[in-house]
Amino acid sequence: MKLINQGAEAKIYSCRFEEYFGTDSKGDLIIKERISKGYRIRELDERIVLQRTLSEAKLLHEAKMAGIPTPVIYFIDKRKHALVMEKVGGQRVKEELVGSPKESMGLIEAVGRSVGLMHGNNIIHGDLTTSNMIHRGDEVVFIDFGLGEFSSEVEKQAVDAHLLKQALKSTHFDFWEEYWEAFKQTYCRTYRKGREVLERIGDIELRGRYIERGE
Amino acid sequence: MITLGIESTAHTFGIGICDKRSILSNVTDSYSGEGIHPRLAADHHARVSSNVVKKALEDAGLSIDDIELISFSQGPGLGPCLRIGATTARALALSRDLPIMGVNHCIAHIEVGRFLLGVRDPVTLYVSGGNTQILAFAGGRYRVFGETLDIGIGNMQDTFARAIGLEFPCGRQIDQLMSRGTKYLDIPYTIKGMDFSFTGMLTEAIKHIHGNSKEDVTFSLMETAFSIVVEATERAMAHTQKDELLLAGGNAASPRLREMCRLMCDERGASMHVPPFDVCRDNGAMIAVLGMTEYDSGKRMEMGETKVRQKWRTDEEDVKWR
Amino acid sequence: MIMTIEIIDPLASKYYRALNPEIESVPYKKTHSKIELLESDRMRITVEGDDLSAIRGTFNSYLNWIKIVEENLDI
Repeated sequence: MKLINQGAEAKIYSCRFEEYFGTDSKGDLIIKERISKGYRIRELDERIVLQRTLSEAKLLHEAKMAGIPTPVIYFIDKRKHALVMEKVGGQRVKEELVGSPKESMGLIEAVGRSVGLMHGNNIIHGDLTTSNMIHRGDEVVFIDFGLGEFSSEVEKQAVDAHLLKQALKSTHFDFWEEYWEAFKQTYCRTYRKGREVLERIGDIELRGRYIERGE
Repeated sequence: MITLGIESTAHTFGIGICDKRSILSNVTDSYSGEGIHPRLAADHHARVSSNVVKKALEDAGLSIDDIELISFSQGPGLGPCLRIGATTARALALSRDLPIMGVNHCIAHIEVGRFLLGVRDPVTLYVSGGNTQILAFAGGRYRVFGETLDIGIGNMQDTFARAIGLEFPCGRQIDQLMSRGTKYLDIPYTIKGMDFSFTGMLTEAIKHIHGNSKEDVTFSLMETAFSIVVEATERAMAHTQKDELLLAGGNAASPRLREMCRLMCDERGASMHVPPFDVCRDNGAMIAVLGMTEYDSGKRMEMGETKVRQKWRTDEEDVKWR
Repeated sequence: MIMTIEIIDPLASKYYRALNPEIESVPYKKTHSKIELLESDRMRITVEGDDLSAIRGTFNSYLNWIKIVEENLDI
């Protein structure tokens, strides 16, 4: 078992299938072990870490059922707050979404389709940044549903899409507007309530600022 | 270049003076009414404006004739309050025919940290009454990586304080109540990527007031709120691969928030920086520092461009000085 | 109704220059107002509206700002 990444939230190990399960099957695994945070009080930390592990497993599964590429989950280790899942090969969309919009259009369109499917199936991803999307072959695989939830509320879906808009703005700032336009197109094409959700984003963006009282 | 900076985005009116090397004076006078009433706060600022200027000059041992640049917070903030600062700035600039520079309040919080503490390229957690944002430099601008989707953490704290009957200002009392709480009550933990919201947990905490001690409710609410902003900040640091954290804004005074930031940074091997409180809160010195920095980078502003910008977004501003 | 105030003062042109950038953002939505510099020592403020208290409020804002300018010019 090899530690391949220590993120803000989890340690990611890589190992062979037979090494973990002892049975004869080929393929690489990822073990995502959530880290306890020293800055959080114990009660709060335990609640968050366990709840996110379980809810991530559930959302990954439901998303797959809805036709969104996600890694296969093999095992849930509740004691270690770990998910054992398929290793997804490929490049993060964060690194791939760099060229002119023309070259990257296919990618962002795939993202729009999948997010449309998610929301159409009442799945909120919760952390739609391009670091959480992996380009593998001709599909975009979504990972890291730890902050997600199930909801049909327009508001929650709008916040979800707003996150992606913000991620495009802060990370892919050169062409973010073109990307966002392309996203909106395919998102609305796959999701019936897409327009409504996108309109709500405008309201969200007005909050979190100074709102004047008085006249 | 000796620069006089004017802050008046919300309930604090402040004048600060700096030169190339240090802050020479920093005087604030805050409207102390409960909550924020833009018009009442603006009336307060108008009343104290020239006296605060005089006091700042006196503290620095200077006269207005020594000043070489007038800088003011042009936004974002409350319109009536901003206009008092802008009008003061224009009057001072006209009185001695000085150059004038309108600057972004949020960026000033970052730049004063860089100026005073030698922080190079931090992720900034900016926590105050009206603002709660996570900012970092990328692609020539300060970009917003995370922010509140509803109210600022300070607003949440004030509303909660009123609900449990505390007098305004309440920061220290909240810190004390929080440190005495022991039982963690269930409070919703709302984080969306690097964004977060506070109204849901506020409602839940207010429901807990009956049947629980003030200490426990305050403890549960504030632990949850701080955990969320620290988690979002950590995500931003991981995402941007930066290893310095700058804490800014009036709520940066909270000892527990500082402790949590420090623990988070230690776990990541990052460094954490907090300016002294009088430059952490809204103040004129940070406005002076940013005005001076921008002027030195070659930026100039005409009198006609000094209209206030209430909704000025941090990422609208090209950063020429880095 | 249209009301005007004329300010005759050697500093009128400075008042004018200090107030002018903000002219479109006077906080009262129910009034229209403009300021003019008639001569170097004569400035006129004109406020138009139907609501007398809004007109008064607008004039108050202007006078408040003039007071700030006057005090800060004098430092």
